[in-house]
Amino acid sequence: MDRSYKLADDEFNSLREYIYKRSGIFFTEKNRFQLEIKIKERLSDTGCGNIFNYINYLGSFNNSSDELNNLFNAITVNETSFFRDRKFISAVEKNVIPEIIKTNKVLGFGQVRVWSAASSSGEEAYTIAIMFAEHLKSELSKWTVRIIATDINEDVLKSCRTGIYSGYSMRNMSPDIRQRYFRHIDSDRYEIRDDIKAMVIPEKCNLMDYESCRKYKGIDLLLIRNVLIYFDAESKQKVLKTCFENLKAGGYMFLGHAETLFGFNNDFKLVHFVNAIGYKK
Amino acid sequence: MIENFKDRILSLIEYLPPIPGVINDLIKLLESENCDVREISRIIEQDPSLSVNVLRIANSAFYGLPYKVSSIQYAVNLIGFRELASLCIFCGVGSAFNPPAGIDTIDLKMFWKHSIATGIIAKIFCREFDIGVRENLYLAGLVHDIGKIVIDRSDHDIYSGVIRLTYDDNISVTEAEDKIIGESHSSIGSWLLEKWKLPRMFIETAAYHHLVRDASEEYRELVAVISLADQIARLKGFGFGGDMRGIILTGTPAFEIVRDKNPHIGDLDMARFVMDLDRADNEIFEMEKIING
Repeated sequence: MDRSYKLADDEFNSLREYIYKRSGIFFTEKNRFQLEIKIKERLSDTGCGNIFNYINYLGSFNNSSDELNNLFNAITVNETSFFRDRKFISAVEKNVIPEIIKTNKVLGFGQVRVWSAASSSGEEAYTIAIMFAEHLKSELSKWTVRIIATDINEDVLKSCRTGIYSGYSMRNMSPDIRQRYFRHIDSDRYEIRDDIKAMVIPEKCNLMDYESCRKYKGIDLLLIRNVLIYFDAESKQKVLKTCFENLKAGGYMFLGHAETLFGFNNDFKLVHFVNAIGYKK
Repeated sequence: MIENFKDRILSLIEYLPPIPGVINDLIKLLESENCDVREISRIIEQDPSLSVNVLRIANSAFYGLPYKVSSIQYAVNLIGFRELASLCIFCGVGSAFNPPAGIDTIDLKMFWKHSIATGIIAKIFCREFDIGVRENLYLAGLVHDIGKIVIDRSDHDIYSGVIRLTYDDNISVTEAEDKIIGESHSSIGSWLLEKWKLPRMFIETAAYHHLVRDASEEYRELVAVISLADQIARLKGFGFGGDMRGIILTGTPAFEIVRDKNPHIGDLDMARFVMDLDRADNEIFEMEKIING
């Protein structure tokens, strides 16, 4: 059986326009096949048969419809793992977290707000939580470290809330960290420690929806990694504007490994770390 | 702070072997405006080990020539006098610092790799961004940190303490030197190059690569380029010491000086430039082979 639904040109154009308007995610010609694979199941599940019927079907619902969720869930890529991208991790661990702790420390403790935008199933958010725990050690309980983990995809948020992960997603983690922060449930399931889980707040958020992003203000560290690639230039600029507004003065933002802001935003200062780049407000 | 440290270093520099006469001749030529290929070839040919070195450099994978070069004059023509002279001078300078058997030193491999990377990155930076400085970038990069070796030769135990501190406190070598010794590799390096009578541009590079605004008007841009390349080398993983801190390159005095002379670099994609330097890895590796024999 064919894995994909072959999109006719007018179908492709209408579908990508619809997706773009609702999510800001833009499928280029290069990603057409990816969309053809992902849409196949949606068409058969809904019994719509073709793209125009499917768009009508979607359009008849309001913004929070189940099928719109299903579509977002299908088209967003969720591959992630703990301590992913060693160089980025090292920059955050050695520089950014110590600086945030230093600037936010008042009378021996303080508050920190991190936003992991498009955090998928939460590995990145929990990684940051673990790194703060490692730095703060016994002081951790005196601090309020909140890591807001948002995604447009309900399914991944559900697994973020459980805090249960497979050994595979922990492949870049040292055995020592795994042992201290996770409880082995059974064969290949590990659950994150309760106090670390409590630091992470999973929430649904569409990055294109300015109103829903606005509440994540006063952010010390914003991670929006490998997300902007899905947006076209205009949406990118819009999202970055929100990011800039939401960051605290002096706060840091990190994009994905090979992503840069060049040509999209001049508000941030480019910070070079060893083999990694970040942006500062 | 260490008592009489400056005197100790100065007397060490006094007793270091002078650089070979042939290298001095090359340095003089490097300074002169009009030098001719035959004259340089004649100087090189007088010294058998230097001749061997020049042919080895010309035939190295670094220059990737499709045929074998067997004449000195041909090698000078191909590689260019200044670049070749720089490499020869550097090999001469480097050999003055070959450690006697059995003595402990800082990680010399890491040290030279950093210096080589600095020279190569400076060259790529100027070529790519069309910066007015073109000549002698290699040698300037290669000698900018030479003071570190001098300190290490004088007081290895103290200097390994300095390097250790950069790892423990995530600070720069200069800051660690200031805490422990109270004297910097920059000034010490410049004393040595002065004694060796290297051209002013190299002395200033050693002296001011951490204080670029203090360089003379004439060489300030070159010193600033080396200072930037020095930082970029560290950011690409070719650093010396444990400083892992982030830096806003475009906010450094070095960048501002280069931008004042070349306003167009304000609009360039620095993030991409630094990322794309991965392709310089091979060049650095090949140059390391040339220099380490």
